[in-house]
Amino acid sequence: MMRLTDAMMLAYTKLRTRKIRLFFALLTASLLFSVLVAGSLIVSGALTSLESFSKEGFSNRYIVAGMYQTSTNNDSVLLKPELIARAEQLEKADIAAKKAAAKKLNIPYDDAAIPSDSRAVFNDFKGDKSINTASKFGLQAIEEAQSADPNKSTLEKFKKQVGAANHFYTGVTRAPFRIDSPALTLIKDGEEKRNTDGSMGAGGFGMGGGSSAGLKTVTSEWSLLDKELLQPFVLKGQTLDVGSDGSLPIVTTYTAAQEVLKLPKLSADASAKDKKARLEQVRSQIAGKTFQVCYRNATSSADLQNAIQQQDDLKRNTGKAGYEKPRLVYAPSSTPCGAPVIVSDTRSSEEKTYQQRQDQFDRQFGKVDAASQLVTFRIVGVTQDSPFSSGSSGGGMFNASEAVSMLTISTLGVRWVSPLSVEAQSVPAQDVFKRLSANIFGFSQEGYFAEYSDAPTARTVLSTKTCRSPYGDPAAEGASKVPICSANGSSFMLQPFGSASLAIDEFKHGFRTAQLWAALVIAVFASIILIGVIGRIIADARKETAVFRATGATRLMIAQIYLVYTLYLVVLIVLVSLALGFGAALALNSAHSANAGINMALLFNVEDLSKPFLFYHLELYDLGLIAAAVLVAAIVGASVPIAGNIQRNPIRDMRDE
Amino acid sequence: MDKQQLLERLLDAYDGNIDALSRDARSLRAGRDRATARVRDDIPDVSSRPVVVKVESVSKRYKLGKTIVDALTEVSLEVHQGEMVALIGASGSGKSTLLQLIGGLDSPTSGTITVDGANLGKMSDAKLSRYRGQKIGFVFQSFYLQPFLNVRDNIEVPAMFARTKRTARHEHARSLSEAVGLSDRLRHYGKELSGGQIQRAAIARAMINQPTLLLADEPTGNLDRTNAEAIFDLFAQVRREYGSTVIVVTHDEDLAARMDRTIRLSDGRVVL
Repeated sequence: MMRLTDAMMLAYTKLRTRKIRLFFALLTASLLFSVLVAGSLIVSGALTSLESFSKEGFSNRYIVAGMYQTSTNNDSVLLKPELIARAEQLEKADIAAKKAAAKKLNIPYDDAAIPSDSRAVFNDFKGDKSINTASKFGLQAIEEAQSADPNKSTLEKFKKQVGAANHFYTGVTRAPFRIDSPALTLIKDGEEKRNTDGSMGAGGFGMGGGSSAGLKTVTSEWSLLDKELLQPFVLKGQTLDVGSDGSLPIVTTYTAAQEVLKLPKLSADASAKDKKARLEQVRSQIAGKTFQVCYRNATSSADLQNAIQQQDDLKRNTGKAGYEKPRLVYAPSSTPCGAPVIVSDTRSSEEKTYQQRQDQFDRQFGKVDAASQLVTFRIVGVTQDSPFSSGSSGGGMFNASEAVSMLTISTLGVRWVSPLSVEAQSVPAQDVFKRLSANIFGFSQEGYFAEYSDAPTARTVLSTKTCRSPYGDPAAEGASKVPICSANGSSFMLQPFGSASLAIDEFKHGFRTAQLWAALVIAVFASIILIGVIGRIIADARKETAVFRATGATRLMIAQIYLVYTLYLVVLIVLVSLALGFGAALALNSAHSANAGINMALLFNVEDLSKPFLFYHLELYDLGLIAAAVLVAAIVGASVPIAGNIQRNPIRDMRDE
Repeated sequence: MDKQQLLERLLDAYDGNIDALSRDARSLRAGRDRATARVRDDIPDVSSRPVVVKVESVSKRYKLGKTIVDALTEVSLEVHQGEMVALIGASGSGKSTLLQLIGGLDSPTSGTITVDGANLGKMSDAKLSRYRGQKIGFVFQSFYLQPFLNVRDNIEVPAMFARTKRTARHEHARSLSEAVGLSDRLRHYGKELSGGQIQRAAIARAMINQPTLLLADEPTGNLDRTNAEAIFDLFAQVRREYGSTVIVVTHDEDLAARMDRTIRLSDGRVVL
């Protein structure tokens, strides 16, 4: 080996040959690596900033959420002969009881009048039977079967699955469907705005929701969470207790908060300054603001629907020949959330007596009295609409802050949340969140949460104790890394919750893997380019190499000169890549940092709205990885021509002149 | 005039011509001797010195496409320490091949070459490299100076391969540049020098490691007469100042005549 300084001097002369070819080769390789640099800087920057914001929200808490998963195919549940038989048996008993009661009350009852879509069991055209989940008896049969399931979703089962944790919490979402579903209707401008979007709730804790985040979504997306999980989102001066006026505390979405304050929607291209001012305004004004919804139980809801229908019929048919006005006519109450009022009653005494007997019959077979109530919600906190919502920003082609939000399942994951404690103090809450025993279509109302003291423990639990969803993954139940999925298929799917810490941690792991693959792919392309340019440089210098060999250079020394030359290229590529990558990251930062900072402040309930969100951060690991990738590419790119060169006969190269 | 008289006249005329040619030859030899006296006056009898290069029955055969070429056939010769030898011959006679074999750049097909007591055929590749760096100084027809190094760094290149310390090689390069008349050109690059200056720099480069043997392959092939003679003067100076043995391949018989000895090759064989 020759002295390094001498090798550097001789290698440096190579940089001065084939300048144009070298320039374009270096530029191409640098551009390739600059993609890696920019990606690493931006993602590292976003993650670092995200972590920094996250620490102020959930105080760096490591929480794992568990959603009950049924691995049993619902179709097979609905086709189970024993359940079908049980549903038919229940229905048959009910019909028999009703017939007896009807006879006793002297009212007619004909089970043939039961609509087919209300029967306990469907019969298809082939004669095959399946349980009707819209039927009380179909559901009851499933409930009975599942309540016997030893792995039924309970906090105890969750604890058993995840092992010891610092704290356990619970949350509840609305039922996806039930026969006696209550209805919530937003009261707006003193009127009951009928909700027509059904009663389907959000997908569950941490699952995100739809794109709309307005005030009306409270009627379908109201959820309950343990107080401890809500606390970080509570605004100053607010408490999570039910108010002395009966108002229920709720954490709302940012969009809904603006709606409550009657603030005009900011345009999609509003400046960061405007957004910041809006956030400050919302935070200072929203605390303690109230809004109302009307709660109606299933009976009240049906009564109101009947009254509305009657009024519509009257409007359409009054004056028409042959139209006979109903003898008992209802109309919706002029009082918000009031019971429908009788506007005319021309029934005979016999008809009234008959109706009394019919009501007695209905009550005997489960019909509850109509109940409705105004529910006042008191806004105690605000959170980002949803990490997956585009409604907040007006939906541009690309919104960096939303992209960053999507890096992680952050914040509460659900949009309207009250503390779990309100359930005991509010009849409407008790009805809305009434648990279904039957677990249909994989939906679970209850979610459980385990909090750990450190990220590694939580990550281990997440990776080793989760039960992957069996849907679309036939191997999930058999995979060795999924030890908990029980034979009868009930278990919990685990995912990070609340604090972005775990999600960021998980994302980091994924990002590192992707980064390594990207580095490898880019290194392969770069090495191909470098083989070309280094090969050309070496070929051009064959006579020089021959002279060096004639004047005492060993093969190793020749290789050393070209390896040092390669290192020069590495340094140049790294420097240019860093410059280009930093340029790209700074450009992105300049364009989106301010907006992202505001969005993150909202997302993590950060008080300091001037806290910066940076899209660049250089970690030594990233720098090392990029340098290593360039080095590997260059060494591979150089080794092929070097190996060929040192094997050459110097005499032949000199003869070629 | 009878036939006998005519024959005697022709013989007289022939003798006269022969005498004239002999005079001319003597005159030429005297001139050559005068010209080369400067070269040989320091070492009047090199044959008494030890043999530095011994070539014994060396043959070199190589393939040129599908043709087998016998570049050298059973060549044997000896060169003494401090001797200046010219290898002459027509193009393709094998003189450059012989020089390269002596320089350890190639190996003979058969036979042995011993330089300074070491059999080149028994050396490993690394040892041959060291041999070339420390015992041999090469001068090429095309100079081969690195265009992006200045004269001083070019001269020092072989010393870099020999891992000579920087200060020592700077000092040696400086004294060599003085010897070859380039002391004011050390910071210059090849493109700023004349052909003769470049070749002098190349000779200084060849001498940087103070080699036992200076091998020059057509060193004046690209130079004009004046520069060519100056280069040969330089070889004599090198021999005088450093005691090096010099073997020069040339096709210029006048310049070859300035050497101690001329070895002629023809069709790969040494001819007398």
